[in-house]
Amino acid sequence: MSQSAKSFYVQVKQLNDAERYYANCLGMPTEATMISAKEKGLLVRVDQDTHIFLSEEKHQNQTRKIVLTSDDCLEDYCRLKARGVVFKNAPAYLSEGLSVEFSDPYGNDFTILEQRNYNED
Amino acid sequence: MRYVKELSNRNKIVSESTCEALYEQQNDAYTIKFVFNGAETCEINKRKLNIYPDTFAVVNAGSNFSSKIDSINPVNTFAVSFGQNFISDFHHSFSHSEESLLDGKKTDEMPGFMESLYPFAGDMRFNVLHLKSQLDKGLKDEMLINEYLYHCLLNYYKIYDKEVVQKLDKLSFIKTKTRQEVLKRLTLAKEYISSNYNQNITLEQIAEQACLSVNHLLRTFKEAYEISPYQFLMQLRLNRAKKLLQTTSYSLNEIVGLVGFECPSSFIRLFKHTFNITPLKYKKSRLN
Repeated sequence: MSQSAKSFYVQVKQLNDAERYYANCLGMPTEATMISAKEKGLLVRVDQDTHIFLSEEKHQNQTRKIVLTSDDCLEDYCRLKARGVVFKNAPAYLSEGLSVEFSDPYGNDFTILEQRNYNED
Repeated sequence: MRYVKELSNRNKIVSESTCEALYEQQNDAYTIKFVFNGAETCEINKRKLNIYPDTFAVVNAGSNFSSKIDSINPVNTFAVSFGQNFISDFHHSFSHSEESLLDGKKTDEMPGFMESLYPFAGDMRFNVLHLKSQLDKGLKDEMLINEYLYHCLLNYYKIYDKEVVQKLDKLSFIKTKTRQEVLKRLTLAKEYISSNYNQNITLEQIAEQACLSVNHLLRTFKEAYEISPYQFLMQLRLNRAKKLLQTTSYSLNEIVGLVGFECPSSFIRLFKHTFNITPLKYKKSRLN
């Protein structure tokens, strides 16, 4: 997956459970971080430029919809499916490319999107 | 360089890069053939056609197929063949409603594709390029390869709908059989133009290949494809010239000759009129 520098702030119920899901199921490296001076969080490195900050507390800048761009949606779909991720649908074609969706155990919705330029020479 | 990847479900992929090759065989599985550079000359059931990088060919199981490559530069070909169960499962689930699929009545109905050249563009191109790039890197995961192949079929069925089913609807004949026969002949005309685009071909030759009179060809071609055979030929020449400007170091005069134009000035005028840029400016913009 690739993305030009993007950070998502996402609420989860329990950081310990979330770490297991993001690290083991999604295969994304995680590390403990501080969201604020008093609040612990978890940093998920999706790739070099995309990070997800997980926290148990609710914050204004959090989102429930995370769009991860991909170089090859089918590859990511099969890799994650093999790791046990349950997808909402099979990869589907949109006007901007190929995409597939799943949710984490806390109801946050993920879209993997492979953007395709159909007008390219 | 050649590699063959045969999966446990009998799906098969053959990739080859060669300057010379000659194959003759009865095609034992539904096959889609692609060429990434240069051209492959094929004969499907005694019908001659050339596959270029902007087209792909579909060959039904049981068809007589031969192919020839004779080129100074290596021609990179890529063929995917589908196992009988894989394609019949796909065809069954694609052609039936959710309700009838739930009834569980499975038929061994096999598709019969219109063996012809189709445009190699859009999602089909993206998916096949991904598959090729993964296999070139040594991909072994059958689940992923089958997913690409499933999407290849999905993309092909959509292209078939656009290129065959929707074109049939555009023809004004009342009888379905007549429409099918006319489209089949128009397909022969298109194949002939696509395969001989760089030759000095005439309308009479195209009509003869399609077994249609010139008037009948002109009228029905325009009805189905919304352009005349001549406009189709010009589009093809210009698009292939554009690709050569992008991917090769041939001079403008060489490209003019390679795509079948007789005079550089008419090529430059048409190119500018179509793409709003001169060929040389276009080449420079691609280099930048």
